[in-house]
Amino acid sequence: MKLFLSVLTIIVLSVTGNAYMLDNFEDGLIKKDPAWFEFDGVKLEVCENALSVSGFAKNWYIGGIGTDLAKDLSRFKTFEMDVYGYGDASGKIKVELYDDDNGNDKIETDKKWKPTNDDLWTSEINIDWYGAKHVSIPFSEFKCEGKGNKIWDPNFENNSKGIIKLQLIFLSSTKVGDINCSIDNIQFN
Amino acid sequence: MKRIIFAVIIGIFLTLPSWALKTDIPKDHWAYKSLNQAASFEITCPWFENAAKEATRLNIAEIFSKYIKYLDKSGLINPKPAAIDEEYADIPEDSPYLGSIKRVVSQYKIMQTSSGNEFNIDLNMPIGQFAISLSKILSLSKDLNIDRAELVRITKRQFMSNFPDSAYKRNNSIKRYEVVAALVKAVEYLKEKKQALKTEEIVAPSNLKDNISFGGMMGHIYEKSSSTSSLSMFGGKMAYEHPFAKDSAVEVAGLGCTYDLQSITPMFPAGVKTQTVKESMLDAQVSYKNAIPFYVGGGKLSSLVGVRSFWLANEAAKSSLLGLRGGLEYLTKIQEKLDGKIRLGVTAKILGEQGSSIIGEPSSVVDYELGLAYSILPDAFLSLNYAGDALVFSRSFVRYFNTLTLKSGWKI
Repeated sequence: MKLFLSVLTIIVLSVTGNAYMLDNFEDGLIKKDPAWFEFDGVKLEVCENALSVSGFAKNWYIGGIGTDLAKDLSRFKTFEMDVYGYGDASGKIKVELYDDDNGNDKIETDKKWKPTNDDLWTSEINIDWYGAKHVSIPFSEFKCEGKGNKIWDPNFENNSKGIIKLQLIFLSSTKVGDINCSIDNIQFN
Repeated sequence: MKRIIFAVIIGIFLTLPSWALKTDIPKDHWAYKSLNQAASFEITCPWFENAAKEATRLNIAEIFSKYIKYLDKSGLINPKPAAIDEEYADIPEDSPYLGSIKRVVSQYKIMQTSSGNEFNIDLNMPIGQFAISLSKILSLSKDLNIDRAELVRITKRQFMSNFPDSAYKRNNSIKRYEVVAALVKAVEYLKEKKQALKTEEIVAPSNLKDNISFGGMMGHIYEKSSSTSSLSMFGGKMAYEHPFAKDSAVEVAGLGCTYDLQSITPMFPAGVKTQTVKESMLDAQVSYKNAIPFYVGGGKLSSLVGVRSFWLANEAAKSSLLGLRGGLEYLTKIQEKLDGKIRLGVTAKILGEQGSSIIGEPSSVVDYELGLAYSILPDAFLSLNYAGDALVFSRSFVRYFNTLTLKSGWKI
């Protein structure tokens, strides 16, 4: 019996124990647990336990959402979320992870909002499917756009606060167009 | 003065059709029919004259607004309450289009605004995005229980199927006539789905109860070739139906009637012999009914297979037939409480008995029926049926029994 419980515990931990669920929107809240901030033309609504995202772009860019993390993500390997799409005109999501490299718990940016002393790791999701899809992006596939040490080091070493911010930027799939998607179960695994 | 008014009225009537057809789309173009049909769906726009142009967001907002009003009026969508008054950075408060934009952006959330709440009236809409917007309207339907993403797929495949493939690949801006054609097809789709649902209600599980009916009938008999007829025929009918599932049932029906049959026989060298006999008829049939899984004009079609027996007897002779019967039944919901029925059947003889000189040997029967049933209570109805049988005798004459039956039925 003890052996069985031990095996079961190992299985459960191996399946769920490693994941860090950032938000599954089951509380119906956007501004709490975690507090998401939104910017520019994006419109949000929690609908059927998922975050429905809409907005219109005159020139690709619509807007985005973000949340402060300050987490050591070094034990995780992937960024994951469920995305509900409406075919190839649904839009695109750019995932941005801000890595504190100068150990000041801040991201200094230039006029184009690009970090000047820290790393910005990005990956783009082109939503071209119908219905729900689980998207998993290994950190190794993220590209560095910042001006930090250009090393994936999402830990608390050297006074760093690890990954201090996550942002999701929403883009239209055409120069002029909409974003139409829902996102859910945002997590690190 | 009267002449002037008359001339003005005539003038209006003459100009109306020409306005409806005024467009730059040639008559042989695939979308021409849709532009005309749009008038019956109350979604015409003055810009139909330049229908070949690319549609602006304002054009689309304008036609979507009319479209939503029409769908709401036709009971095809669930209306949404008016949204809180919203201002748009690029739309003046006195703009004639403000109402339409509010309806599609704030009230129904079909279209969206950009950063700074600008509507951007002059920009075009890519084809793929139009499909998503139209699917949002369809998702307001009362009768579609379809996943939103699947609705986009249906919109592209069924309502935008005439669009060239390359237009999708390049995500071209949608043209005005393409907008109208897609909207017209979508209305037809919604109406078809609504009708199909109504028809499904006829055989809905809640209606899966045993059905029994009794009624009185009257009619007449006519024989074209033998100068035999009966002006009055009275009788009774009963039917019992036991459903097995949503799509199948067994039906037992019986009929009994009596009449005075008069035959006029020419006599040699001159004169006629008139013979009148009292005759009775009994008719019984057992059928297995099974729904054919497709809808015809919004109604439900079922096949019938069974046996039928016919027995005729007068003072001098009797005649009978036992045959195999096949047929079709079409049920449709005409109104909330009114159902319509059409039935056709053919019975081919298995066994038949020779009759006397008046009654020959029956070889087959063709039956036909038209019926209307009105629900007076949830589980009770009144029906009026016109039914007929063409009884074919081996001596190659046909006797027609035409009857009108008033029945009362209950679901038990």
